[in-house]
Amino acid sequence: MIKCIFLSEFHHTQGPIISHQVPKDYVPKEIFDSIHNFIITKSDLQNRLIIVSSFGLKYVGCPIYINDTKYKRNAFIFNVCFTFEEETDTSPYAPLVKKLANYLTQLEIELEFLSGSGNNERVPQFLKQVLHGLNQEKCCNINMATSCTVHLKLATSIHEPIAVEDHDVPCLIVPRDVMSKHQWDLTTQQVLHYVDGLSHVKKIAAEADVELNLVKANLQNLLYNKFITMVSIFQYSNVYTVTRNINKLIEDNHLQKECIKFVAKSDRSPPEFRDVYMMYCAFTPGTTVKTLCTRQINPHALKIDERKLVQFGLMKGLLRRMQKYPLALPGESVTSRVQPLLPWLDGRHNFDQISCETGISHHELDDKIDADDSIVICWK
Amino acid sequence: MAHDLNPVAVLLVTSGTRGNRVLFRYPYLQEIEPEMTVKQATKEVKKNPYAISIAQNLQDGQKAKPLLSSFIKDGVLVGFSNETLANFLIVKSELCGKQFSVQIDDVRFVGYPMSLSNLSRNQQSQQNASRQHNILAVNVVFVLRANLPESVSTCYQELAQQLSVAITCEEKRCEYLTREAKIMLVAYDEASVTGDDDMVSTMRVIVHHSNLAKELQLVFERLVADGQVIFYLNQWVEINFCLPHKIHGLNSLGKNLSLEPIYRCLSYLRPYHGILLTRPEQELLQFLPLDSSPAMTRLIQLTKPVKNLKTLALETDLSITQIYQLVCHMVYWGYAMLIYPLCQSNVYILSPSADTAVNSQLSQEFSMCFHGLQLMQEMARFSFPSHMHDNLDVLSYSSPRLIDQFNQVVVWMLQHRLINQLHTYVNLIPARRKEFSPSSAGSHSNMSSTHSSNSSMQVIEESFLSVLMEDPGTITLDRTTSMSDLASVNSEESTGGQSTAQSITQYTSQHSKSPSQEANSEGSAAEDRKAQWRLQDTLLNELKPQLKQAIVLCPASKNPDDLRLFAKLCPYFNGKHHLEEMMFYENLSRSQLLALLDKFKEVLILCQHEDPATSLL
Repeated sequence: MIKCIFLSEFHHTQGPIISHQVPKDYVPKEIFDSIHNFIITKSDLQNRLIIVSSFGLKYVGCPIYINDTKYKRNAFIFNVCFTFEEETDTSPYAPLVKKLANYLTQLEIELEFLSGSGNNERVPQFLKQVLHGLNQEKCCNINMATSCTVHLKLATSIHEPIAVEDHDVPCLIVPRDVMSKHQWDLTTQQVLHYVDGLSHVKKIAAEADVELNLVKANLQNLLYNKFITMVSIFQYSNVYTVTRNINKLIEDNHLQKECIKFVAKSDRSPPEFRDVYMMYCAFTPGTTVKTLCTRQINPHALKIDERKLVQFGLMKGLLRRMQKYPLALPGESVTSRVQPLLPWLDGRHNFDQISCETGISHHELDDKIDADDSIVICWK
Repeated sequence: MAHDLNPVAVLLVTSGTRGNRVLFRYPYLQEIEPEMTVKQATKEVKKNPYAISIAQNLQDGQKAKPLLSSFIKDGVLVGFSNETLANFLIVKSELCGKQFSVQIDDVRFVGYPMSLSNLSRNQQSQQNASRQHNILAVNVVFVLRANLPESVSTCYQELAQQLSVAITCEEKRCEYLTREAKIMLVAYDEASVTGDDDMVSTMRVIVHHSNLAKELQLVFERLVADGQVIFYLNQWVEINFCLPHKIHGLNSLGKNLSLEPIYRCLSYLRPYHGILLTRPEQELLQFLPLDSSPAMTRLIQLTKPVKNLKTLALETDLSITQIYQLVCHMVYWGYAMLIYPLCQSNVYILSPSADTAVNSQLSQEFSMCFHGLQLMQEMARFSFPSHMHDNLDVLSYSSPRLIDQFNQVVVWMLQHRLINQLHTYVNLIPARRKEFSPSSAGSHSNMSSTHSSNSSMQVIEESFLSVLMEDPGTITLDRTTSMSDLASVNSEESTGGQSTAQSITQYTSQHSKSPSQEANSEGSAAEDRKAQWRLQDTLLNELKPQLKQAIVLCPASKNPDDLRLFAKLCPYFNGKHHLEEMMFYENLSRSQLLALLDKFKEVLILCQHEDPATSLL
């Protein structure tokens, strides 16, 4: 939440001052005077993003120098600072501050927007629009001149996009009707149609008849914007284990309802909560889904869809997939059947990765590796 | 996303009568003329990056790039001249004595400026003040990567504060800073006299001559090495600091970096936990400062992985709160980790963060410690929940030395966080009444052999409720209520449409199964039953009626002892307390507890996962 935006400039007689501020008088003069060397800096720090914390507030700004002989001191120095409370994570705002500084530089050069005398009303008006837009809508588009519109959008998170693998399964975390309200490009629309929480990326690409890398790029975009989440592919040979978060399911009534609705085999007869909980607790290391469903619990009789149960568990962190890592013991020779697999048996590759890279099915891999005594398997 | 936790540089900045100066900067590196004329640089600012770029502009845009390049090159701070740094790291006096944090692009400066101007100096220096360089403010600053999480920079800020305050204190005591600053300034002056621009050799001279510079260099090197700094500044003021993120190897967990897991572990500390030293006892004792508490020494000497904190408290003759404090301290510093005391019934499993790579350094270390064993095989053994050593092992390796070795292996793996202990948690979740409705009677009647049929259960349940609904006063008067009376009440209450006769027969058949009441006559049987219900009611008073019903339906609830124990343990059945905790607090044996859980298995669901106190996950 931005508390205040102020425009500070170097006045030719008064030195650094706050020329405009919305809301008014949020940053008192005394405080500004003690930190102004970080806001109107020496020229060697110009155009750098500077974040200062002091007196319980955090100031994010970017000092700009515009050199021109028309200005009184041959340069116009200004800085638009966003002010936050000290605990605020300002990283999403940092690029916005820089972008805004660039817009204002442009507007100043072309229209003397900041230094011109006739704009005493427009500048605070503009800052107010930015403040309200970013705080309420998380974005703003302000038309400043015939050829300049200020577009600012607050990103939800700033990180490198996570790579999407062939065997990942995308799951929607936003209801489908909300999804369809957004204006997606044609490819995304086509891909979205096949995102059902069960098919993996490669399958989606085949079904949607879209090139695999395009699908990945699309899904990566959706993942980045938190419309989908990735879970591991469901197989009956998978092993899952319940995590400590399972207590959330007991305590959080909302999650409970969501869970029961999600894992139900049919909408009309939802399963008992006790059964769902019991089934989650039955996921222990060493028990495959297959064993669980055939020997211990009959999910059909309990009106539970085991695929969805696993999917929900993974999405909410109630379950954790246990991966199988084959390791070739050093100093022992492997049989010729396993020889071609040796590069993958270094303990860094799990079964999913090996299958994907070599095209050998889990079952076949199991057969080959079980037959060899010099290979041990770690589950983690 | 492993972060580089090391600081980029440490700076000592002072402001005095002769202006602001960076007195010391480590590590130092000769910069290859980063100077770019200001005019050139400012031209670039005019370009709007969102404007369509025309071919001409493209070249300018490329020129602008070096200006906005990173301040960190090969892990060393570059791009700042000493003058620039001195100017913004010395702040106005209003900001002195407060934490200081400024981020410029991709570097962050955290420090603690202290004002020295109000120090009472002796007469001599008062007079010299006008002639000499007089230090007015000092700031010790750590330069960090800007992408480091808040909790890490807060830690560095604390260290900067410790150093600043210590330097100020020493300045007050014996003008330490003035003396050291003189040495440093002489080195700078000499460099400027010889016209030598080489900062590296100047800094080398400073480190050689100045004690303070040496100390700051040591701080930096210790931070890079293991994140622990313990020394006496000027052999007088103790500086102790540790970067828990680094000590606990949190960045290898690959999660978001925060101290939350450590604080969470400590908040779950209970008297039944034990501690496991991460280093040999002797090494730890040497590491303790001279004035450390003797209680700490005693605790370290007496600690064994099989003892819990309560035992340790008794043995060290300390209160449990004191033990807690010492343990929290040790855990924070990475000298110890919390475990559940080792015992044969503990179940361990491979940690998801364990490194399974074949030729990892860890596996080599393991082979050094345990000859003839391979880490991978041990890890494979813990792929599935396993005890410390299987019973089979005990048979096949009859020699106690081998068993001992197995225990050592488990300890070693725990120390390296390769395995986690699994605990069993219990949840009290009854099935809904619907399950017992006559419609599903067929599927359940053969399941529970102790109940004659489901309809009987319903009857009992309702009669139980009917007693509960009665006014307690009337119950005491009604001690002689006959069987038939009760049955008629049942039939009135019953909506299932069962005939009175049927319910009576089922009732009595049910009753005959309870051995404790077999000796009673028919007339007083009902009375006893009521007494039992009342007992059940008072015991299970805290619970919701729905839960109560379900518990009473369990056959074991007819046995008052079982029911009493169950009622006592009820608060633990919320998925937050493991069996070991119940055993510890309620003084039960494992077999007793397991038997009880088995008797009430209809309403309980068991779940296995890690204890939040002993696992960093």
